[in-house]
Amino acid sequence: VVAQAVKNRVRELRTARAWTQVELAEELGVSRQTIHAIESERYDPSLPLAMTIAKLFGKRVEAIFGDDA
Amino acid sequence: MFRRCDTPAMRRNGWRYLAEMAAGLAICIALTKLSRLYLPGLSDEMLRQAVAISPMLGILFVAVAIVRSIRRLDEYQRGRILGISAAAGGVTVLIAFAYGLLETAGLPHRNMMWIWPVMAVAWAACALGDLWLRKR
Repeated sequence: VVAQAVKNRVRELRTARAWTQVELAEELGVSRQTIHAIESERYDPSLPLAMTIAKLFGKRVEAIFGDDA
Repeated sequence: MFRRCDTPAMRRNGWRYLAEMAAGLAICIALTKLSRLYLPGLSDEMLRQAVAISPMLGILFVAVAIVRSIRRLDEYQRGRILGISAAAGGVTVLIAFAYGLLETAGLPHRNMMWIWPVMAVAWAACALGDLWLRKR
């Protein structure tokens, strides 16, 4: 069963920096599949990964993940 | 072989897994052949058992290769592998119990080694099911 994931702005932030999914995956030390799953909102990253993503984009976690993001 | 669109680190992990798995299987095949060759000429019971079980060293290498490959995966991939493996294990148990009950109705008795190909097919089917669910 694929659970409903929370909304996020990862794709928007990535494309704003003209990064590919592979480049972002390399920066985060994860696979491209993982980036694709997060961007398509089919997977919620763990708190440590969400914090790493937030740090990479220079934003707070709640500014990237959640309905208010 | 590994998709060009993934990161170099992930591709490296894939090749490392294949190399470790191939080494384990090669050890297993070599020890099985040696075991078959020398076993008939051995009379000491302890030595016979040691030679007969020696291919397990290769199987141990294979198990270590699988564990190491899972440890190299990221959290999303680990979650998927766990889900697929759990589903495949469940399917295998269902098939094994169902066949066990059918044996009481007259179906031929099967060697327990049959469970491995059944589990492999169940794993492949569950992996395809997982892929289909995620692509919907």
